[in-house]
Amino acid sequence: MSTTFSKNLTLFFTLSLFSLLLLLLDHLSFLGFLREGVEKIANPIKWEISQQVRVFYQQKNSSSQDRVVLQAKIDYLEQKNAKLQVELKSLTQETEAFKKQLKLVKPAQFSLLPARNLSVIEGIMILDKGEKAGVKAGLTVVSEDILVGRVIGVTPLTSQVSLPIEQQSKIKVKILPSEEKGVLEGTAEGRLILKEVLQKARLEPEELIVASGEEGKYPSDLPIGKIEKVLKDDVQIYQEAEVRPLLDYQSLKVVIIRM
Amino acid sequence: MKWWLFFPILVFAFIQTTVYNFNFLLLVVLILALIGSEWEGLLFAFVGGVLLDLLAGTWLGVSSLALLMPVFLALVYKRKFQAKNFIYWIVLFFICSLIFRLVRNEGWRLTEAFLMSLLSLPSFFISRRLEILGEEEGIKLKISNS
Repeated sequence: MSTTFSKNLTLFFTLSLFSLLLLLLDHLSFLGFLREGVEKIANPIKWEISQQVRVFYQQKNSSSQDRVVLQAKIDYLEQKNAKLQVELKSLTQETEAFKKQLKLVKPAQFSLLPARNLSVIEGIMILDKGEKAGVKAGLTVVSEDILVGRVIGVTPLTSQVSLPIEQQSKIKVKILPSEEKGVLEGTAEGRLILKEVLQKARLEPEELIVASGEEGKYPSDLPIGKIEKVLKDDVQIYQEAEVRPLLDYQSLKVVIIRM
Repeated sequence: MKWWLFFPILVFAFIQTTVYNFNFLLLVVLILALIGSEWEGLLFAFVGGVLLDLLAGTWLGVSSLALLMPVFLALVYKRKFQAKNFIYWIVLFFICSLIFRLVRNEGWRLTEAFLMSLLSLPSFFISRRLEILGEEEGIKLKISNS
């Protein structure tokens, strides 16, 4: 074995051991100070880069000013409509409950923490708020009462949010107004597919998809998307549908973490 | 030690974690290892991996291991197959890209591996050109000294 090769081998094993040591120390949370120091410097840079990326995507997607304005109005009205539908359902249920029980039901109390979107990479959004701000894994992230995702990882100054479009994302959902149940899954291409909907259910384009809240991961009735195209195959037990998210996750600047 | 080479590694780490998750860092580190000094290649792989993990918020050390393994593989086979053969570069970059993603538990990314092989070719031809120029200079020096 040549001298150079043996030197390289020694260096390789030494650096690999260092890497394993880093992994262990990080698991035991001994390297929080290092992360915090790097994130303090890196977060503003990432924010600036993400701003430029947002501008690039907006310019790429728009063809004329009129279409941009009209599209913005349509998006706003769709979001507002989705929100109102959910509120209406909630109010109706509350009224029925009051009539039956004559008891006061206190709404869930949570505080809201705004956070900036530093990047969206392969269905994972990085926010500029982390452990130091009190963020923990499992918290829900929303934008104008529409579901953005769920916090899956936290560092001192950042948190990672799994979006519905993430490949490993699976959310139990309901379709409104029919109340049919299904599972919303992300794909490798960043699309949303509604699965496990019974064949007998009648799916129509533009029907609203909301979180069912069954698993306890997401609050119930949070809107996520709308059916774009029904993929019916009579041979299969279930039918599927392509779903269009209500939000363009890449273009979101600020989101709200429900603490 | 070419300290200035840390700058492109830092830039590509930012791009990979903020703009688009293509394996720019592996591409840069492999090229540095094959063209430049071998121990520098290993060191850049380690540091690049740490940077990647810090910026992506993933476990520290995982990306370092994921970069060290393909770089070491490249250095081992650099002797056997001669880095002057472009087929070696294509196959090497393809396999190294797959190894990186598998170590990080990110699945088989065949499209990315294929793109890595293609992107490695310009640097292969540049390195061959530099090597030929270097050899010509060496011959000229020998003739002038004799």
